[in-house]
Amino acid sequence: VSTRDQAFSKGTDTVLSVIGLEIHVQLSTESKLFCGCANRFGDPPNTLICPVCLGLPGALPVLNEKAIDLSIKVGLALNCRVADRSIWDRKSYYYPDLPKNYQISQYDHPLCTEGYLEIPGDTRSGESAVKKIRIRRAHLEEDAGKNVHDNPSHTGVDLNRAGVPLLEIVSEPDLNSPDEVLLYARAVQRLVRWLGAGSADMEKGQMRFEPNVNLHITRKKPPWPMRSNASTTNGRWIPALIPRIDWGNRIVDTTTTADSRYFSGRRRRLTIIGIFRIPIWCR
Amino acid sequence: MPAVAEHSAAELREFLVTGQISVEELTRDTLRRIEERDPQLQAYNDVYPELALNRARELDKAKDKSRFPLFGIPLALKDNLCTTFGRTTCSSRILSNFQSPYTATAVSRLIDAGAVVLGKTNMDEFAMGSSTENSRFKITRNPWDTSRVPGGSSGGSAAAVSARLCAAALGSDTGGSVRQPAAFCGVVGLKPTYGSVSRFGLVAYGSSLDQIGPITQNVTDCALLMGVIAGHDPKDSTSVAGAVPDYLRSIDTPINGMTIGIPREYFTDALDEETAKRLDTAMAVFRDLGAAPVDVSLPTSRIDRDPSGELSSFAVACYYIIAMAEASSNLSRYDGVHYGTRSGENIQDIIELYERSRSDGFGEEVKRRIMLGTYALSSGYYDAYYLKALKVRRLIKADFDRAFQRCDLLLAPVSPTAAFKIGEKIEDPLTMYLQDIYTLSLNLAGLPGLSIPCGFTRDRLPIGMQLIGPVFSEPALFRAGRCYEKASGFSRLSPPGADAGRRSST
Repeated sequence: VSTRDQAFSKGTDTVLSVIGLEIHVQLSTESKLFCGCANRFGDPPNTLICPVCLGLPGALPVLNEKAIDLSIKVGLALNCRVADRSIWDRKSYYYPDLPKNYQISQYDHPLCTEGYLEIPGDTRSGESAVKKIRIRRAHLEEDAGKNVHDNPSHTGVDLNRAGVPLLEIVSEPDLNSPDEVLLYARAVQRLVRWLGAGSADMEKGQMRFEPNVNLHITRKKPPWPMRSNASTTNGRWIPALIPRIDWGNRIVDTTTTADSRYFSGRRRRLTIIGIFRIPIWCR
Repeated sequence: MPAVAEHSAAELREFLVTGQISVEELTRDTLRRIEERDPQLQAYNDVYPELALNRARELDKAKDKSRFPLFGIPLALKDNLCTTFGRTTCSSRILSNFQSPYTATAVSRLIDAGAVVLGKTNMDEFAMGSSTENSRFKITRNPWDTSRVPGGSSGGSAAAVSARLCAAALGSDTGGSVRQPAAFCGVVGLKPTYGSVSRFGLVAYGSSLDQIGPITQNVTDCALLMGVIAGHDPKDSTSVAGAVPDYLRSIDTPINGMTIGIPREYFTDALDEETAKRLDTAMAVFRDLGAAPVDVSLPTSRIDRDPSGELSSFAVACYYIIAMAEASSNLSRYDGVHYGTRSGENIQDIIELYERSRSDGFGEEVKRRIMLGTYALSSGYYDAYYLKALKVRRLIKADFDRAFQRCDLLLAPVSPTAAFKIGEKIEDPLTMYLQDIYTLSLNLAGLPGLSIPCGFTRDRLPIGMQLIGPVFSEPALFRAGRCYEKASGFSRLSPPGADAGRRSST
């Protein structure tokens, strides 16, 4: 356990953070993943749509080869193994911004697997100069549309984004601090931009994060109150990455889970002593 | 004046191209027949008289009429084919007012070939059923005996062709939905090889099984329509590339030397006696034509009778797991949010909106299949059901591959019995599912099957038989079917009431 791993420690209590990151990157193809609609940000709602990305009856997906090319490019840069044969799956969930109520994604035969990316190591604590962050997989999927809550009486749905190619890069839980998350996320962003695979602009939702944070706590008492270490980093990244963990008070799970009612607005609280698994949605 | 009641589509085209009748005259005549007969038969969900007549007048003005392979031919479409005109309902409440902003590729090809679309035909809701009784709108009757079902799910199309309320029609076949209604109504139906006809614009039921197929009065018409609708479509990635064969060119070539396999698993006591007898006679006709019978085996398609007397088969179990699993996913988009029927008032939240819309929008059978399919796909059961079914599917395909090493085509029944009574099986879904025991293996294996009339029961109900070939063997199927049709005289069968009908071997 390095000093950085003990970033959360207070007094004699030791908290080891184990973080894996799912990064969604929109690919900068001209058209969407399965239809000819333009892949563009900022147009008036529902102007970049067709029967295919609207999920109309009888419409069929036709794969955009450019998206495959760009994914392989990123996969190779991430030192991944590129599959000879890859398979599409349907991920089912009901949500108004998902017109077919399933997302075409990749489950057990992703395009890219078993890669890594190197980030600077913490030499002060005796680590080597580079740290390898293993990449479990990078798979392609279609983006969902957007629910627009700008009117109290109803929710609007903008499907311009529905069907935009999204590369999901999943790391192994090799990150042990917000600093490392930051280094890794920036490295991926730079790489995607270098390769011309995407603009990876967070303001436009072209790069989005889903961290999985596990805290291994080596004492029997519940872990709060805990001190936030967000202040130790200066960038605006940490609040963007881990926005809803109330570090100063207690730890809450901000995900509405599969069996809860989507729009109820109620957040389920998980307070399990010992190991925490806190998936966070950062849309 | 030549009329739709008396001539096949190919014959009508000759009269139309040579100007012996105008497209408008033929269209009017056919619309008049629909007006007279359809209130009883209920084959159509919607008829478009104005649209059809406008189109007819436009065609009458066309120069070079002979360049249209279907010039002026009045056609009907199953109501799961998307068209920019009229509704596309799938005979479901949830799509009862749905208007598609685009037209299915197969339909566009018919129209480009000079066809006149008369209307959309009734079907089992979302193509789920074997009697058309699962329609949410109406009960279609069999023109041969109006107390009986026309089969399904393309029952409206088959009834319309049989009663000459159109010259030919399109249906779709996921487990037998073109072939079984064709057999029940005494007409010809083809389930083409998977991938040979574009499905862009066909409302999906079981995506790995669905194919659009023609329903026609005789085999020549079937080949004619197939020649128009087949071929690669960039909008359907599962449609195969490559040139479409000229299905009509070799259709009259004799079949001597052809070997026809008789799958022994299909000729058991599960098969109705009269049907078995007609198939024996059909084989005798093929023998006279110079074809040789070969005994073959399709072990995985074996049909057993369990101790209680119920029929069962691996293929049926495999098929329904796969079809329902795919259906549960394909039908998830109908939720009342973006299009289609939205149900309920004072809806509290989105979940209630989903629940109400889907509860009201779907009928019993559709709900049953969605639930069974969802169950088969759910984690914990996926391996035991869906994955296992995929393995069985591979075995079924291997059986056919082995059989086709020993013969050119297979001869098989279409359904265990001829048309049954309205209401007879609707309360018992499992018995209804067994209607497909001889047809669904082809969908699992991706093979083409041609259903053609081969005689009658004592009650004068048509009986069909099925010719099955390897993938892309449609030319051979048409050839064998056409030779049989000529030799047997079971061509262009006319049900009672289809006036000026005749039974001949044209």
